[in-house]
Amino acid sequence: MSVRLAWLGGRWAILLQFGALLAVGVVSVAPRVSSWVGSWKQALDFGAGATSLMGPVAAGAACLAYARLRRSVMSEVMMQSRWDWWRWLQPAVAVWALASTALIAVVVGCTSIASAAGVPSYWGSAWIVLPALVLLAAQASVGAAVGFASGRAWLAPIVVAGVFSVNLLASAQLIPQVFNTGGVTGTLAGQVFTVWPVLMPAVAAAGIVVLAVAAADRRLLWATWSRRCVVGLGLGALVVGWLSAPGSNDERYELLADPPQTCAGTQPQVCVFEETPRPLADLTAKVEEQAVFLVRAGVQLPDRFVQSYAVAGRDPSEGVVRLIGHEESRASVSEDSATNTLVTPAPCEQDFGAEPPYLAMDARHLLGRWLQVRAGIRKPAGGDSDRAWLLGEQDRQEAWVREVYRQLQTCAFEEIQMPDGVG
Amino acid sequence: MAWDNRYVAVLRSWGLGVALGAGLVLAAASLLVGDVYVDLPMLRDQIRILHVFPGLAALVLPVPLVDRTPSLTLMTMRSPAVLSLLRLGGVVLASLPVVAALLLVGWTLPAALVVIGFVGGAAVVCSLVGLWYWAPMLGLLVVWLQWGSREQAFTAGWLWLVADLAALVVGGGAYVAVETARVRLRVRTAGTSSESRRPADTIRP
Repeated sequence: MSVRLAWLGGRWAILLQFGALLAVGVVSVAPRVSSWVGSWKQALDFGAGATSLMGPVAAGAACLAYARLRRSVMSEVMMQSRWDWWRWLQPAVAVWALASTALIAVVVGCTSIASAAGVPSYWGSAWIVLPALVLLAAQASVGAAVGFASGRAWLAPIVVAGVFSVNLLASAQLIPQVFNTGGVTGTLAGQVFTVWPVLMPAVAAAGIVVLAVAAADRRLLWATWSRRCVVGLGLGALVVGWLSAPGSNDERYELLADPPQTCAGTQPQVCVFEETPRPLADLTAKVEEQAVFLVRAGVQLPDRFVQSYAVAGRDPSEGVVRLIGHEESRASVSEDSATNTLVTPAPCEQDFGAEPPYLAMDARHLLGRWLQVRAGIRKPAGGDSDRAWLLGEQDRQEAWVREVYRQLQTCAFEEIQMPDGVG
Repeated sequence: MAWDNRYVAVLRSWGLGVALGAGLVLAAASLLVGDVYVDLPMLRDQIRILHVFPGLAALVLPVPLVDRTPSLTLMTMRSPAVLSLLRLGGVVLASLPVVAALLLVGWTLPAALVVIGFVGGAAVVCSLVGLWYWAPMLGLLVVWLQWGSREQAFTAGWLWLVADLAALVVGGGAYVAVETARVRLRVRTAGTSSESRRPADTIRP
């Protein structure tokens, strides 16, 4: 057994600690697997965000190891040796190496699952794991400092709870996102990681490592002037990192101007972001199935339906793909997503205005219900206010459908008129 | 009054003072935070930050359940079962401020008593893995936040009460049994000649 690992316990104890780190990593990514499985970047971000549980475990393990070290005569021997700070750091480095290995295993696991689900990979974004590794070092060193300064192993649970609570404070936006290394709930399709907001927590974390070592024992980083300079640098890093850390999670990502799309189908063609291609096949099939009934009613459909976040720069002759909830990540989509897509034949400014376009929303709703009734997906229930119209005269329905589809396509929302007795 | 200093010394060496202090801090925090919602990556939905406190209590409060002076325990004249029961009782007492705070913010009694149920669960883990008990408790915290803590906290009925008390009785009972057996075993092996074990210093027969 290597001397570096000796303070962590025997071989089985070390294996158990690795197992615990890996287990909490899995616990922190597993509940949202259905959300990140459809996007490689989100899977990467989620794996890196596992620090929120793995960090506390690393801190607890380091606290136990350093309390043991402090209680032994070896701590004095270490302090008298030539490379005192390095010898002192070795158990913490060992804990950090275990935690980092577990984190990388979780990240590789998440991204592999996404890849296996047929999602393209974006290795250029893999650098976001680095800040997560530095944060793990900071969390482990805080545990080490508490364990060594107090010599009390029973403080470990309190350190764990403390490190976990700091993450909560960031989640509640009471402090900057200094301890946030990932875990976004959106797919990140059409977005990229912004460099500085993602790296700043790492700068702060490096500062925390230095300050924690200095706080553990004065001799370590306060003995000579050169060491005091290191502490000064650490303090500076913490201040700079803290002040320039993003205030909210959204600042970690920015929108791409023109995200690449992947398309399928012909009547009409359906395109989704290239990064989240899982729903494409099923969405295309369902859209083509329902589109037939609109075409039969004499509606002129757009040639293409395209997924996007913004109206600006969009071709006004293209429809908009609208997926419900987490269906961006799923291989199968609901009929409602296909209907929502078909009843949004153009990107309109009004949809993103201050006041929601209530009339257009009502019209899309009725149009969608008509389409689903016609396609045999839905039957109007007894108490529905539009039941009479939906079961009424077909020619009048189709005339309204053609008219309202043209109005939705030209964003002429103010011209929309609901059928008599409906809406 | 020598005797009451002695009790204070025992309370401190068991860590009950720290546990009670932590209980009061958690209780005060749960009264202060109000209705803040947080979005934790590992959870599907947003949660009220208040729901974190029973989980944090399960992490922090059971500290006294782990024996910090095992060699001293071997020398005591009291039954080891009584000592374990006293530790468990002390931790339950230390968790009462958190229960009271949760009642004050509108949780029903069965929901607030989940803290005591967690103590029971932590007790059995403590007897198995000692000062590493917080690792499984961290997992329990996530499970609790993910599935246990929704609007039920305001409506929970007798089923929760039964579960809480059952966790305390079963977990606590297992803890007392394991700790007692451990002390008895060490005392027994200490009296006999043992090559492999370090003889424990004991005056028990």
